[in-house]
Amino acid sequence: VHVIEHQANSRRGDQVPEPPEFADFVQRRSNAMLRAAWLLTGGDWALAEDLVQTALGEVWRHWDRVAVMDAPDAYAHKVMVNTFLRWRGRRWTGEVASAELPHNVIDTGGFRRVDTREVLRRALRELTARQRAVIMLRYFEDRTEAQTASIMGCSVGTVKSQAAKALARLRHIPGLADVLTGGTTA
Amino acid sequence: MTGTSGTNGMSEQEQRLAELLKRAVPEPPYQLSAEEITMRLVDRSRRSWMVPALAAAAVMIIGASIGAVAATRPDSAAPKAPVAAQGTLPAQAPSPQPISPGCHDAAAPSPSPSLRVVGGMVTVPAVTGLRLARAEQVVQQAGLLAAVVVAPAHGAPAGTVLSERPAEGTRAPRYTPVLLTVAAQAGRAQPTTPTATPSPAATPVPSPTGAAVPSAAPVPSPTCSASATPVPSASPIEVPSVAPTPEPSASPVGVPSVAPTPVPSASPVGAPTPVPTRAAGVTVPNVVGMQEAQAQSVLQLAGFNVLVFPNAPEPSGRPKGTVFKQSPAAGTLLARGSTVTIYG
Repeated sequence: VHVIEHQANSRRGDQVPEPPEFADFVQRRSNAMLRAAWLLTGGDWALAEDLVQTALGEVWRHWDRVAVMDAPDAYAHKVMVNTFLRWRGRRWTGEVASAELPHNVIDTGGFRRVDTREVLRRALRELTARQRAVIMLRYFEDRTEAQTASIMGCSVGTVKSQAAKALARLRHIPGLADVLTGGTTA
Repeated sequence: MTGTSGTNGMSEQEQRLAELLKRAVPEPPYQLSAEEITMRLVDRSRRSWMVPALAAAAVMIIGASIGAVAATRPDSAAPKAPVAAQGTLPAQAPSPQPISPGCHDAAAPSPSPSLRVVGGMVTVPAVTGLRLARAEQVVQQAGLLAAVVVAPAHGAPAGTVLSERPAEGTRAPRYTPVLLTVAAQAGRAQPTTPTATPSPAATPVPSPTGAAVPSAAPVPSPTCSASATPVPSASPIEVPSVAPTPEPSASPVGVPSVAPTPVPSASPVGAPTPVPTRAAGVTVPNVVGMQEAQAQSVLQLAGFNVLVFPNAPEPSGRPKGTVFKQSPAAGTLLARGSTVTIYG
């Protein structure tokens, strides 16, 4: 116990008194990061939280360096995306094979938003992890292809091809097809 | 894709997708705090060295006891004891007196065979009326463990020991928990169920005492302890050098110091129903709201390692020095020797 306490003490010495800016940063960014992580994880809040916490933990460990960056936000997202892509092999990625999909969810009146969300969630799970990452960065966060490529550590060409594949796949999801092709205005 | 030229130029479809995403991605159901993140990191780095450390300690102890067993009796059953429990022993057992390991009792009724450490008999010191911190010290110096229960003060100064059990002068096996009833602070609402859990901390010697005490009577019945272990209390106990004449009647706790069974140690004393326990587990007691030191000793006595974070980033407005969070939560069933983290 004494050993443990000692360790805890020494650790506390250099880590726990977190810089106030980090707390600010978390408060400012965690919402956006959680939403992005929701997309990445295919709509799994638990996994999303885990992901964001892990990413922010990394940020915290290097906070001295991150705090002076021009774009700490981008760095945090980069860490998050890369952590997520690393997780692919290790974790269950949440992809569920499902035979039936809702047919016409666009016409469900007041429940439209929830249904769209559910369709989106299922659709995301049809995508690969990389495709989800591209979709998130490119269309949810509106980053350019170049930025997306730099965050993911791949070429612009890869971003393009992944985005195209993802879109092609999404077009074949019944609930999304209409929305994407403009058949029905959502 | 069409129209994905250079910067943000998007095709119509892409724009629709972008719009859809922004609309459909829900708001998170909770907020993250910086505190959670930093705590989690510390937790993780702790785990990284805890496992090897525990394993190493366990290997050493098992090795030593196998040697001792071989020396004392040719007992074929090599103890594959609760590793976690053993691992914590060196850290916690304050033993001024030589411990003779190796009384491994094969006939023990435990579901899993367990190592035993025999420390002899000691006398329960008088601590009634002392401040808690001092009383704990005295009890520990006597070779016993201090368990704490908070009770309404009834006029006594807060923090003083109102009574002890077993009574002073009683002969008890080393590492027997002595239950100290401490006067609560006036005005502070005390739960009717006491908070402490007596049980030898890291001793691989979970006594039936733990079971006997909470089971109801203020005076633990000897029969209970007798039935709990078929081992006669005398046998595994070496006559202590320190000890005066051994009393045959033994302590109210009256149990061989070396009960092999992992025992329900985490039941609130005096609670109407003892917390049900499983063979290998101990229920984590609630220590939120206690002073750090007290929480620590309660947890240790329940058989856990304790990782303390004083001055942790705190929710504002709580009293300084009290535990505001524990992990895992109270009621969780954990292996003896697991680590409970408290944030004060």
